[in-house]
Amino acid sequence: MAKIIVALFNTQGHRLEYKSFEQSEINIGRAFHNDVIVTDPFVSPHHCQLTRAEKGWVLIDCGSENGVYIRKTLERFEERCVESGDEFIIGESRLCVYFEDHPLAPTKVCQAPTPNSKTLSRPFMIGFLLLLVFWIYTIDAHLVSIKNLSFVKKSLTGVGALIGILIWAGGWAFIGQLIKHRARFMEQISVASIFTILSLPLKQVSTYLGFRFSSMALEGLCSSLFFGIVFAWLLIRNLSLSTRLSLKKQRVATAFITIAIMSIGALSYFADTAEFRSSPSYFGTLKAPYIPPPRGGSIDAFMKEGTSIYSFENHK
Amino acid sequence: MKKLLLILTLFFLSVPSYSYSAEITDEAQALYQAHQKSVYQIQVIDLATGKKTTIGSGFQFSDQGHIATNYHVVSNIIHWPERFRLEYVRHDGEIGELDVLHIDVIHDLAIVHSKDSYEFFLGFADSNLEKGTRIFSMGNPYDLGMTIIEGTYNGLMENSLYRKILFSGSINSGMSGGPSINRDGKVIGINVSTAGNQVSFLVPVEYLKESYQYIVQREGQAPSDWYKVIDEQLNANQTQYIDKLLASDWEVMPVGELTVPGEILNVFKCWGNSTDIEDKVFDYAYISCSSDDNLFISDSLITGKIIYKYNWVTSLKMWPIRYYNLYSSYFAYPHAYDNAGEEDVTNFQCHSDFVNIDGTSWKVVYCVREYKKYENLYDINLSIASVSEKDKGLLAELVVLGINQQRANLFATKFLKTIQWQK
Repeated sequence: MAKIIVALFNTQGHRLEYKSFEQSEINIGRAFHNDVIVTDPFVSPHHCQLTRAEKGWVLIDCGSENGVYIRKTLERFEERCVESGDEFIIGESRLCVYFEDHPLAPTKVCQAPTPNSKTLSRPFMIGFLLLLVFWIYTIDAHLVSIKNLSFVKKSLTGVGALIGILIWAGGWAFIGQLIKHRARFMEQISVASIFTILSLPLKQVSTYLGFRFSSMALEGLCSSLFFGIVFAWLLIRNLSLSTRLSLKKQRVATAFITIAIMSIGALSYFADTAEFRSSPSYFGTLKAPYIPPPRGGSIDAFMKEGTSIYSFENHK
Repeated sequence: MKKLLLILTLFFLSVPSYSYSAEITDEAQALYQAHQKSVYQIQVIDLATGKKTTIGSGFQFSDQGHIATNYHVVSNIIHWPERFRLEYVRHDGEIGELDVLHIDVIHDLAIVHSKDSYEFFLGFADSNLEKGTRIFSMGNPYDLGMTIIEGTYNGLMENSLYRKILFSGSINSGMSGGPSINRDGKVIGINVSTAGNQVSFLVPVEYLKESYQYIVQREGQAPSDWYKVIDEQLNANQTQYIDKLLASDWEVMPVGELTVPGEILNVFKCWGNSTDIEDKVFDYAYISCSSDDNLFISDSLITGKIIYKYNWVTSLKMWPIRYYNLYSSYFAYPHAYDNAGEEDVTNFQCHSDFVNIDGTSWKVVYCVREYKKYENLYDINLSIASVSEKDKGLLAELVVLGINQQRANLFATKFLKTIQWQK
């Protein structure tokens, strides 16, 4: 005997029940003797009945208070032939009926779960990366200090970077546990450490370029470009480790988030910059002559090139 | 009763005076009696509230109602004529309106005119007196009432771009624009400013005579555009002193391993400082030179000053990267320009590049901002840093307020060319 499947949805559209029946009479209502029990106060104790007739399945209103409607047309009826996939409204609930040969959508292809990256999850590797982060940031604190600070004070910067990495990785591990049933905390730590390690020298490279070409704009452009690239890489790795998004969606999400962060940064920079600045603002970073700086032109040539700064917008 | 009064008087007289003001003599009393009628309080009244905004003093110096005062007393009227009104208050409490006829922003003088002509006025003398000569200054300090103070003439200030008389007496706020007279009751100078503790300055009366000549030439008509007048005066003044600076041979001084422009004219004073902290990782020597002269143009614009400063920073076994982080932090913060507001000047525009100075590489940043209300006047900032050494370097900064483009370029060029490594 062919089966019939009845699905029940509540007012929010959440499916409550998915039941298949082999008998030829299915009673639907709020009372407990029914085959499908609907806990909807607007449904009558014995609301309706699905019956197999000669011409096929029929839905009959069993004298309910609030009636039975076709969902698409909101037409009320007493008795009606049922097709597979028909949807009805009883009280505030939705009832769907399927026959067992109801066509299905093709199966979606999901990404095969990537196996753990062996290199990135090795304890030795993680230890090495975390130690590197700690030392890079501690040395950076030493390099920007103008006093002889104690090691503990300098190392606080390194510790701060480590805490940042743990929080970031922990967050993504939590998401991974929820979505993929795998936290992959170790890999998340490695990824976040690589990002942290790369961002500092790249920042230095962009300030060096700003110094070398005497351009604040170039420095800004390079630092945002470098940050953008490294951050996008980090996000893609985080997303692929912790979510089931396809590569395309990962890229879209990453591009969106990276651009959003950079735009917020740029906007807040312009919003914070006062329109009138009483002192000159210029790119004032100087770099040690490990790579010898350009010799520079003559004083007269510099003054000649600088003539353009005397052209101001007409404001008189 | 009379006895009691006498005792009380004696008691008060015996209380020692802790004030350092000169002893009041009968001479001052006689001068005050004779000339108080020629001295006025000048008030700038805010039209919106009807209350006074600025007070100063002034004195009549012609029988046609010409009154001299300081430019800084009346500057609000010049800049915002629709917001203020100018009034005088005579010794007898009479109040009347005043019009500005002439200003001299360089010497801080203004000549105003009252339509109600009044017979009492002061004559002029020569400001060239012997040092130590007794002179008397009149004015209305802090709106307390007309006063006369006695002090000594201490010659013309030698180290100033603009000639001023050094007066050892207490000029206070509100006395600005009042006359300083000699024993014959003739004006030798106009009260202008004080450095506190009996160090006060007067504008020599000769400049007032010059200003009066303008009025005579213009037959008492006030110019229609005050900005143009200020502009011309600033430009003419600049021509005079910048050209003098450009033409002179500059004295150089050693800073670290370099020689740099020192006290390039006697009007510049250099002050130095250096570190002396324990456990230090670097050494620095700081020298700042500047002229003391400011030109007051309005409440929001002061100009005419030149400042140049040097920082010689040496590393004490710092890694070069660390040393350069420190070195840049000095370079990145230029002079704080608090001399002008948004309505007076534009933002700075900068040009930056490597420049070869005396055979080594330097980073040079040249910044300029334009005066909005005056033609061809700029504030400039020239910041330079030597970048050829790993463990030492000189940072220098040149600040010139109110200069034209051509002179700014010449001055900056000369400044840069004077810097040399010691051989």
